[in-house]
Amino acid sequence: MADADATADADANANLTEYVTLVSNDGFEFKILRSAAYLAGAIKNSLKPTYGFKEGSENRVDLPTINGVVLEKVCEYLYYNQKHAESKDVPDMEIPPELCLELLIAADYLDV
Amino acid sequence: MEGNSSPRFSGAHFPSSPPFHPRLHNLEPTSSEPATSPPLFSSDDPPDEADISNYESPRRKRKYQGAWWTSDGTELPARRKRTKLSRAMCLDSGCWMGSNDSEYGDSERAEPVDTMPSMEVENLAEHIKRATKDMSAGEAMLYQHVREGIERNETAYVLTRLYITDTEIRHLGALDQVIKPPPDPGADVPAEEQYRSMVPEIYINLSNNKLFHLEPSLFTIQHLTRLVLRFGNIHELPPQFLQLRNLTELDLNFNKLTCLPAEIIPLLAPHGKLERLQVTGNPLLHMTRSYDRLLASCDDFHLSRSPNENMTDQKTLEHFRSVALPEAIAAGADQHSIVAFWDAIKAFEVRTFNSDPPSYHRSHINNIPLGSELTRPELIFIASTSISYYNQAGQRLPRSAKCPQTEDDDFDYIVRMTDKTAGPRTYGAPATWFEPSPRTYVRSLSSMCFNRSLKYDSPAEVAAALDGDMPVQVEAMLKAANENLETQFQALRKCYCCGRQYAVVAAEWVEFWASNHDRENHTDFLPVKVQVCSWGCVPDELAAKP
Repeated sequence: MADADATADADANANLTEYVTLVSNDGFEFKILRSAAYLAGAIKNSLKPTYGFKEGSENRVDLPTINGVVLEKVCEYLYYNQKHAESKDVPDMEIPPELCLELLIAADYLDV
Repeated sequence: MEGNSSPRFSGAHFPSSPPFHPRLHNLEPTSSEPATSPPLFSSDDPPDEADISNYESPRRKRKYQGAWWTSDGTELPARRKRTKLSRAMCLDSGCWMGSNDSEYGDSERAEPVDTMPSMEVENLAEHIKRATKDMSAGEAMLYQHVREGIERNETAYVLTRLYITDTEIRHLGALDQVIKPPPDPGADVPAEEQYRSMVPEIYINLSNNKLFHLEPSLFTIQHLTRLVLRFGNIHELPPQFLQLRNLTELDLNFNKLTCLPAEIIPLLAPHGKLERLQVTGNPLLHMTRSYDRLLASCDDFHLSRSPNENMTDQKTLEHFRSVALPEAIAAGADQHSIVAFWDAIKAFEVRTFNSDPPSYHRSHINNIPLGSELTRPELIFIASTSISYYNQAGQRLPRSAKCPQTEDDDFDYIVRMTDKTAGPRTYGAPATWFEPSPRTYVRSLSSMCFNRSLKYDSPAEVAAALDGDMPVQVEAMLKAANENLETQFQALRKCYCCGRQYAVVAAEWVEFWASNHDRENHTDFLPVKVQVCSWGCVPDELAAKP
């Protein structure tokens, strides 16, 4: 990586919290580990301090297309993925059939 | 037919048939009585007539005489009242006959499920005539063969040149009913050799038909032992082939196969029963580059012309293996020259080489103890191509290798051998190597959701539910699922390495296995395609740079 990038990251590091907040469209807030949240491409990009989005400075991401039930499942997946990143033979996460399609759209949007 | 002759003599006319043919006899209707049921039980009566005798205690059995349809519902008076009842008999037995409100529906009992409706009371010829009314000529012929064959317990079915298509062979699934009837002992006591298994060995010849993908019912014939599919249009064998555990001969000559599915490995002898696999005349993947270049690149390459004469001392062989073979492969030897190499090396090296298959195949195959000599036929893992990785929408990652599709495609040919004394050796590794990072086993949330939803709905239903806001990636996934439906008869595949179900292939590669299942004393290289569901499913030994 370029040095400029690294220094920019270091400057912004003061503002980085360990946890970030994801907000669903019906007002639920989920505080999850930053490292887990970064597994979702869209969240990672919006939180990146160098990009200068409002989300980056507030450590808070509003997700106006995702409701609370689905976002909870997304958070569960982010932790599941983080936990099992190295392991083999992990069972797939349990997904209730009625949530499948909504979650599919959300996952596609968040790029997870 | 001689349906009415006595059973013993009917056997004499059909030597291969069982002594008794219950299905050839037209069953007489047992009675002309109407089948309407008279009221049987008090609880079946209309509610206003409900009697409470059922609930009296102690309960008394009602007594009827004769068959139930002859009774008019009136109760016979109890003939004799037992004076002395044991204590146990005074208690309620606990048996209870279901009434209309019971959990068994009446309709279920009225029409028992029959797999071959009215076959028994109807003449077979008439049945066939009626059933084949709307079929094409080929399908009708096939149906007739199958039905008559089942009646006679025929084990050989020659169905060539009928111009039948994939869906029309669905009737073959019924052949699962065929048994091998015991020989008719006649009037004598059966001799000892007449006691044998009733498991048949079914032979089906479907050559010269218009078959592209086959049909799932074909794979339900458990005792199919010989299958001939010559001169077809088969591009890909479905993984359901794995179900044909008893197959000993498979003839796929002159089809359009480029690869065999990995699922064939557990079937092939010595791991399975399939001893003869013929794949001549297929555009199978192999090394196509010229033999001349090979000769030019190796000065002392006289070995290839008469390998057996020169394969005497170990020194020559050592040179051959460590110099000539890699050079030849680097120069692009064609299949025959590599086979010549390999045949020559093998005779000597089978003793020093560990011919155990790679670890990820071991969950599918039984470990067979290998003696000092390899049993015939043999099956040895030789080489693999580089691995092609795909993203969740099924697009190949730009830096990963292209999986060869036709025999003209250029591909890496990485020979992996494990010398028991010197350790693993690899020839033909490419200069650049790609391994995605991280190579996770966990699948992405979108593919997880997609696979999950396909468990409940068909691809068409998923597409309809997402109509309007279908993401581009999901559209690509649906396309893959529809392709699976066409070639594998189900939207989800089963991962070869981890067994999970999936829709979009995440990685694939081709392996080459030396086999002599085709011709005796001749080793061919079978290209076998392995497809897995996540990057993490690619076994470490293949994913790492050789």
